[in-house]
Amino acid sequence: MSYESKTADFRAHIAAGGKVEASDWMPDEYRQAALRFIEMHANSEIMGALPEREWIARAPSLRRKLSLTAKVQDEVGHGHMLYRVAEDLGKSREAMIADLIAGRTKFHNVFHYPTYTWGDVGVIGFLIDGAALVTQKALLESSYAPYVRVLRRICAEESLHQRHGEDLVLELCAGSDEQRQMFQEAVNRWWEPVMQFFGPPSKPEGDVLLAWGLKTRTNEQLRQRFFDTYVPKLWDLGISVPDPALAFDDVAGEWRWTQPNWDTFWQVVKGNGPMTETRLAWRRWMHEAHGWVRETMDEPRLAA
Amino acid sequence: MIDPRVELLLALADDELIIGHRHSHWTGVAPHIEEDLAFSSISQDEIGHAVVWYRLAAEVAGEQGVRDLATRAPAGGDHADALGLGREPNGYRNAVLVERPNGDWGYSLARHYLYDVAEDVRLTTLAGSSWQAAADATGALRREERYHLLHARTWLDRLANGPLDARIHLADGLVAALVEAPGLFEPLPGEAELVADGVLPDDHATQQQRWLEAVTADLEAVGMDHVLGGDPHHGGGEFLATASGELVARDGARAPSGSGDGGYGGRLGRHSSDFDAVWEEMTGTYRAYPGVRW
Repeated sequence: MSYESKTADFRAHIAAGGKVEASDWMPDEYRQAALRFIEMHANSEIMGALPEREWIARAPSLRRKLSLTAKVQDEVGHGHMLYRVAEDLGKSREAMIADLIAGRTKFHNVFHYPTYTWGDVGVIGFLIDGAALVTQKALLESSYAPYVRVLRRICAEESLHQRHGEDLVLELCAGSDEQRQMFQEAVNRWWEPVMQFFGPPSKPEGDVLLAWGLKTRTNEQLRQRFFDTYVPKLWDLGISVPDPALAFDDVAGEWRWTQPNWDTFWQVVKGNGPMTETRLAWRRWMHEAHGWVRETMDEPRLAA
Repeated sequence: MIDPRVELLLALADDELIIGHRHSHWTGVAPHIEEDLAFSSISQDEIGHAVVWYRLAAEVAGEQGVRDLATRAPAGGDHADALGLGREPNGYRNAVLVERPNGDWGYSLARHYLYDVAEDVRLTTLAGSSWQAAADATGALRREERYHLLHARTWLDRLANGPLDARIHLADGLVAALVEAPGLFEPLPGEAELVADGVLPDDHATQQQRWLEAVTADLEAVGMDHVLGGDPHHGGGEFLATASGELVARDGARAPSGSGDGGYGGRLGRHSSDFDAVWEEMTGTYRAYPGVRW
């Protein structure tokens, strides 16, 4: 059977809601799209650990110190589960790490930004984890079955993280004026990057990930789901959203909002974010300084 | 004067908190995924143990006692936070060893090993305490401690039997950490009273002896006991590419120099400059917003 007819069968399989296993035949385009997408997800978990881990050392109470450590630990675990899924698509973990630290591959825009206060930890735990949960839950419908299996576990843990974030935010909003202010300022700082996180409104017909069933929802559908859940929560807490146009349009049945600056978004994901170079340099240095540990794990034991 | 039992508990708790704080610096950046998870878990266990000891210390000290110790803490706050985050730097009783930065992973691992053997000895001693509340608290802690020791010993064995480079990193780490490890057994203020009352069934000198025996046995088993004499590279000089092929002693530049006093001082609240950075960072948010809940 020719490549083309195999591909046609594959497309029909996907269109009928069929799933793909790592050992199945797949077109190169599918393999590449899946690999690039899952690798980016894995990179994001690993890079997403950096802004949060800075606050483990500075947590305001021992209870928060413990829960934040546990949370970042989970994120690192997710990254590595995802690298394993990506590896089976034909790229070694070592190559993925090498590409990441050399700035050749991408990670989510929100992890290119600095954190200034405990309010940022609240935004990351509540809104960014919330946004990630919306997108990850939608990915449970993905056509690539090994990814879906790992996502089930990730979503279960992310739900806990999201509750951890919400609890942290409730405490801030029920606290002193300074604490509320700290959270409000963090929301103001992060709103645009969070809007950008879902990606620009895109034409479904041009989206290769949708075409292969790797994703099943458009960027805008996911952003709308996020608004549904999180905007009312923020308003209930007395936190304003820094978008004067944001409102639910009863007629259209969806939220109206202001488009962020998409040039900034593209600059950031291309590796020109405010913290991109600092975080990559730090990871590069840690990686290079500990080559000897990885070597030890790869080498056979010497005779005792 | 501080109740000697409080001195004892603060020494235990502060060691746990500060080593847990240092271990958590590996979270997200450890050299290997398994180790990222392991150090994160151990960190959480150690800080959890610190909370157990802080709560017991607060019971002994009472509300006023906690306020006297934790002068930076707001009234009415959580006692564990008050003691853990609300004291002046010279109020902390941790050994100097645990406040050192993680440095190379070989040092971090060596310190983790030496510390957890010490903790095992201390908890085993305390399990026989005449003070029932302290003896009871050791049960849950020792169950977790078994895994810390297993982790440390597995890596001690792996590195000692690994490529030469791994042995060198481990040896350098052990030599540097051993210099200050005696500080974990520095006598406490009021130690004689604790021993006389059976609160501390064996004094710290006796515990140190036990620790040294356990460490020596482990190091002999992996052929690394030469580090106990401060020699990181047994028989190892640096090979110079001269015509004679002469060997010269390494200058020890890879091993951070110790304080030269066995790492003592911590139990009296005297710390290295490394502790200033730990204290600033660890207590900064807590101090900046006194009295709020997080």
